[in-house]
Amino acid sequence: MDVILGYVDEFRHMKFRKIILQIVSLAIVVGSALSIWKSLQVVSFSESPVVVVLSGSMEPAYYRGDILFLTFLNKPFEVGDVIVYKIKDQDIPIVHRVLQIQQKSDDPLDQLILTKGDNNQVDDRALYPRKQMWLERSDIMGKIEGVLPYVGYITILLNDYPSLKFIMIGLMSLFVLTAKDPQS
Amino acid sequence: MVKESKKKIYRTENKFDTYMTKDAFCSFISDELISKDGLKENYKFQNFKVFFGLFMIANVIYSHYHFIPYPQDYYILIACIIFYYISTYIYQWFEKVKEGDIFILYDDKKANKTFGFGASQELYQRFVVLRIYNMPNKALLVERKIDSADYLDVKGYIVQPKMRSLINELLQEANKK
Repeated sequence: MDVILGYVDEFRHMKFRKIILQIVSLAIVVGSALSIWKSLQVVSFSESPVVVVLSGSMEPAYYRGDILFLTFLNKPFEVGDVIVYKIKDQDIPIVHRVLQIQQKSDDPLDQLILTKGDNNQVDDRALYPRKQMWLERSDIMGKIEGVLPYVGYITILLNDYPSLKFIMIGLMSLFVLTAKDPQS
Repeated sequence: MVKESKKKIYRTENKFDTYMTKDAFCSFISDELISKDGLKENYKFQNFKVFFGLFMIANVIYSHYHFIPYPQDYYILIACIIFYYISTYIYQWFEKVKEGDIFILYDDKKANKTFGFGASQELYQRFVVLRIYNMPNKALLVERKIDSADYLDVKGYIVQPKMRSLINELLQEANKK
């Protein structure tokens, strides 16, 4: 606690110009993270190139807390592909396997898709909105290309305990703002 | 009743922490330079970093909040990313090359010149190299290697009179050239 109070005291005694510089430096660091996210969006052609598995419906292939990397290339999906889709008016993406495909037209990308979680007993029709029996390409965020196990648990913890998120951000900001840059 | 202003403490809490030691020295030297008659701090480098940094941040914010849905904004994203990487390179170049080890720029009104005071210290080494540059071409005027232990007391406080006379010595040497 004394260490944290020390950092707070140091921040309070910093010159105004230095505070502005440190805030700009902090914002550049945050901006770098956002730019990396945007770079991943461009490279993967997916709006959300990284997702975290939130439930156990795809066990044993993917466990809760796994980080998944997506792409959304201009290629038709195949049965057995693991895809991520989002139902209209819902924020939470769902990671399930393609169970059946129907061709809607001559365009190979115009597909109707039915999905099911590996660990579920029935297909996902109960999850789809009323009167929707199939997923369309516009519902899909991407196809899984890679996985990083367990790392996403931090995200789950931060979502389940929002106060932890604010404490972590607050402490990180304080340390960055009072960091003794070797150049300064 | 006169209110006493709180005296600033120049101290390194850990003499083996090179960052803390260098920071204490730089802090003391900066305050000493600013307090001298005829010397005034020059904010050119700091202003550039702030404004260029804000420019970079504005680009990043625009890349996220331009209200065109993905994937219609694909080429806008590419442009923002390219601009981000180029501007980061420029910012890093400015910090590492142009600014280098300079921690304060000051204007000498009598000589009508701008100087930069720099300090560098190798990691886990006691020695600090102090330099004075003639700006804007960053020509080295004075360089002095000091043992930080000679200028710190047992508890890590800077020995101010000794440090002050060193600064005066360096400034006189720089003014001769």
